[in-house]
Amino acid sequence: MRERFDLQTNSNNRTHFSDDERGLQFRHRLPHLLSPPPPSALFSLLSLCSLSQMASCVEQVSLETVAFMELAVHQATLAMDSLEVPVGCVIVEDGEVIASGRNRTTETRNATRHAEMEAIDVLLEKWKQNGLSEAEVANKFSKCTLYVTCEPCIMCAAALSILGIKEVYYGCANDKFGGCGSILSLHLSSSEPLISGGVSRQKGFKCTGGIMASEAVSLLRSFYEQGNPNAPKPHRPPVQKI
Amino acid sequence: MTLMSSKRDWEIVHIPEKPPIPPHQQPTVNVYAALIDPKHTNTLVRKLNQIAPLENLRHVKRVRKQHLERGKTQLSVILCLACENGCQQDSIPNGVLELINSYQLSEFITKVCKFAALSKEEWEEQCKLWPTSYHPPTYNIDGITGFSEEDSHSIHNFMKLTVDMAKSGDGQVVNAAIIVDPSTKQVIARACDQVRSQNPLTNQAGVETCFFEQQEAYTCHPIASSVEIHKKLLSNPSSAESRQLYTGVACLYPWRWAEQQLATCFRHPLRHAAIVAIEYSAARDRHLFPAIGHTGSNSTQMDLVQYSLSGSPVKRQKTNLEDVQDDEKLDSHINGFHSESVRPYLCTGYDVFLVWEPCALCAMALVHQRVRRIFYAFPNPNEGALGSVHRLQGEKSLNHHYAVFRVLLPAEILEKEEGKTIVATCDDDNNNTT
Repeated sequence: MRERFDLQTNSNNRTHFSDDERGLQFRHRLPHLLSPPPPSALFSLLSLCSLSQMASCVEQVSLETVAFMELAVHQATLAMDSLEVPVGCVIVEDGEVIASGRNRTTETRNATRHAEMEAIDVLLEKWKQNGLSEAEVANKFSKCTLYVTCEPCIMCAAALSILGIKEVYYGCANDKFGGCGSILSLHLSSSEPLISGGVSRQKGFKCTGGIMASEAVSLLRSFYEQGNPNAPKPHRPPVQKI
Repeated sequence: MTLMSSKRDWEIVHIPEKPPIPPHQQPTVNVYAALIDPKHTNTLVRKLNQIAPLENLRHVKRVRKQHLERGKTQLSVILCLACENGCQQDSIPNGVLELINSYQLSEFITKVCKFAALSKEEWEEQCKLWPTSYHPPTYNIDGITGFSEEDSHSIHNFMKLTVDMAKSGDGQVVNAAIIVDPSTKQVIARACDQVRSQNPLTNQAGVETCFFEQQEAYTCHPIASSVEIHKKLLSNPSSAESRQLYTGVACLYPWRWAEQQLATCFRHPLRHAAIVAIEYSAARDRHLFPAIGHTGSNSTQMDLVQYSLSGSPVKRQKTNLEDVQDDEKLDSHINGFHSESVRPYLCTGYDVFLVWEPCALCAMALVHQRVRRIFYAFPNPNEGALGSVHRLQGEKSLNHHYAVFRVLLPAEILEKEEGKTIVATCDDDNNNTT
């Protein structure tokens, strides 16, 4: 599982794609859900980087990262099966999945019950029962990595920052609500100086997008194509300023 | 009682989607204008709109009416744009020159505001230069153009209830949230912060004092500059506001949860008042409008079993909802969707009252839950997401936009009154809000 291979140099992998196809794979974003699907979703590994990151795309993606993202995608399909917006996640500590979650907004009628919030609550409940103090819980979160199929929204990104999670890998970007670069960048640590006494104002976390983005998008696309039965009646869009 | 006497001073201020530009700093453009004979107004405006339409100044009114002494009025009209630095007459289009000649107009250069007003206050200032029109951006939300006396009264009462809740705990003042259906003036849900236990151990006091000193430094930090406008609004800023830090308020110090060393105080770092109130309102929704045989989710059905044991399905309470259309009935081929079409969708149409401006976590949660209006009393210079640090009501990409208002309250209202029983309690498990 720890084996790594480099996207740029691995020649065995080259046979599977052309550069043009790679270009098509790279920017999957929510507002394009109505556009025709990409030719195929052959290679989840390739959707590692968004266009803006391509130049610096020399880092290796580990098989481990993909394996955990596959588990997150599985959670998303579980959401889909329950007529929920298909987003799923897993939280990993020391190479081991310690919590998973999927969207439950319809079932709970609580639109804040995103996959991330579900998984976080699983952990908090568990650690509380184990009698961990807040400092211990904070220490735990600082060792956790989240794998989620869609960029965390502003709410979830704020939550992950408040909890002090170590790292986040996501699938597709979220052009409407994304809190990790798309709309706000809550994953970046504040440039404000630390307060004396060690109380940090804001904790940042490392965030990498584009892992298995095509799988994440195709799930979302098929969900919205079948129609979200829970969406409100069409309403007038906000007035555009001239 | 101090609350009553100060109540009539409570002002409700709309917090717009963009930071308001101070009126005297609003950019202007030069235009040629001329006094006209009122009987020529229609003809001139029609001709000018053809010859020299004001394409990029649609918010500017073509004609200005000025009131003179003894009830007399005078009209002037905008002829065309003028260039910005020392203009010659040759910048006036020929068609306009012809009108000037044939109607014997004497043109002069004046300034009009370049951009449409974003707030009522901006608009009022603009009109001092030359009248403009003002379209509230969130045009379909009540209150942006002002509140009726009745609405105002009701808003004050709910805000007072929220403040009382925030002070009701044994420990520090916390944030509180109340979700209200304004059409029925019914409280849908209410909650206080549940990040820490409401009954902190006594030896925690030392930790608190220590924090008061540490945090002092950065309340004066430049990040608070965006709140200058708010401060200006508060005509008489009380010393209590700057002295007190309210470290128990989760939205003011969202990262502070991890500093506690005592497991006994530990609740949940994300259970800010607004998040908890949303959870209660969702629980109420599930209780009042249980889905019938919702397919596809076992846990939903377990949920239903629980609720059907606890009580019979409650008939829908709202009468102002549209009746189910026949074709919708046909469309609802999946059981359960029929009943869902009559119940409210999340918190659509509801108002939320908060003592402090919410952080990004809570503000975005309130977007997701589709609330219509947010009222808060005190800005949050540390983490506020409705104008202080971020401004979610102005993020165009979001799929929902609420209107945001600040209810100006004297800071003394937060001071705990010793030995006084406060009626509103903040019961942790209080979700029976019917």
